[in-house]
Amino acid sequence: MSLKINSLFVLILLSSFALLVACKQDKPLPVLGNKKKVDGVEVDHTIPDFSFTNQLGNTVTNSDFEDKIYVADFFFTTCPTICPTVMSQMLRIYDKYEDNPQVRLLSHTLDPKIDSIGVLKNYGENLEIEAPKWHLVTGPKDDIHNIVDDYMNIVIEDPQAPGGINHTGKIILVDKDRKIRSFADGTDPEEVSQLLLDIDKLLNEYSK
Amino acid sequence: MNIRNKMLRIIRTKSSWVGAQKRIKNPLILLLFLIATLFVAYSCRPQFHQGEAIYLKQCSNCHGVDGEGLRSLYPPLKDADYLFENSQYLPCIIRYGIKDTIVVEGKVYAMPMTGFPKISEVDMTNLVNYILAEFTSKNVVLGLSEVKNQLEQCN
Repeated sequence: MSLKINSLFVLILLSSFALLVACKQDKPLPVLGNKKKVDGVEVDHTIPDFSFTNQLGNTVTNSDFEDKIYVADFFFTTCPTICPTVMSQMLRIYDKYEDNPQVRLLSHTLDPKIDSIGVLKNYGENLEIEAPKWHLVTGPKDDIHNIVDDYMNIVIEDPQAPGGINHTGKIILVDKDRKIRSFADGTDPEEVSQLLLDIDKLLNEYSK
Repeated sequence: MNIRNKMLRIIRTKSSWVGAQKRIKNPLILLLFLIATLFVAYSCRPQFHQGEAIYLKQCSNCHGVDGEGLRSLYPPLKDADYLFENSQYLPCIIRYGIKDTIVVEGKVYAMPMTGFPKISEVDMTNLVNYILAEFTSKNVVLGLSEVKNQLEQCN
């Protein structure tokens, strides 16, 4: 009897050790997005230069995310469909990394006509979040709609859609080199749970 | 403190456990009975699956799957005073939305609520019954005619 328990114990110990070793050798997060050929050399997809204005009226550019990793998404304040759900998932990320200066959040409005700086300020206050931890940005509509593609999202202006804009709710994880390393469907809490793990993993890369 | 320790000792002694076992001849039967009671109680509770489906499709984006709301942006429904006090206007609110600033559980909500003018009266009845059963302590089930009546009085 005791021998049986002993051998079982050893088995559990061994398998958990094997699991631990497997975890240690876990692959790093992949670099996502289409590679481009520049002068015959393949280069990773990176987020291009941008300049937007946040809820406090401050200019936000790539340099605000220098030496930081960040998650990005697209929304508009009058969006009655997926946006609130995605926002509640972004809040999970905000709350988890509130005290970690290495992590930031960036939400772009797809409807700059309605979402002025004042509207975004109000929205941020009601969401109980603060810049620069979480930038809610607006800018020229074309600039924002053009960068949607770089963040692997889709936006289509559609008068038939609720709010007049049809768009996807992906949350994108960008590393310190502007490369996309993971993403989640912001309407799926389980996918976002995985994204939270991926953020930890990415942070780990930089702590080595 | 002393009394508490004594009681704990009494509870923990083996003799009392044996006594309990003697009194309830078969604890398994008791357990099964308990489970059966809970099951019956649960299935007797009115459920509004059709209303739930509409809620999840049209309402939960903002008000949350469990009616919890979203910070100061969207008010909660679950056990909310505003919902309880305005339950007779619920069909009108769903159909025409809310433009005014409202106070829910002491918090101010200024974002307008979109109306859902296309929801049919039958769907409205299912939805209202689901919301009232799920998020309020009101023990009412509204009929189609009552909801129609309430909709006629919207202003």
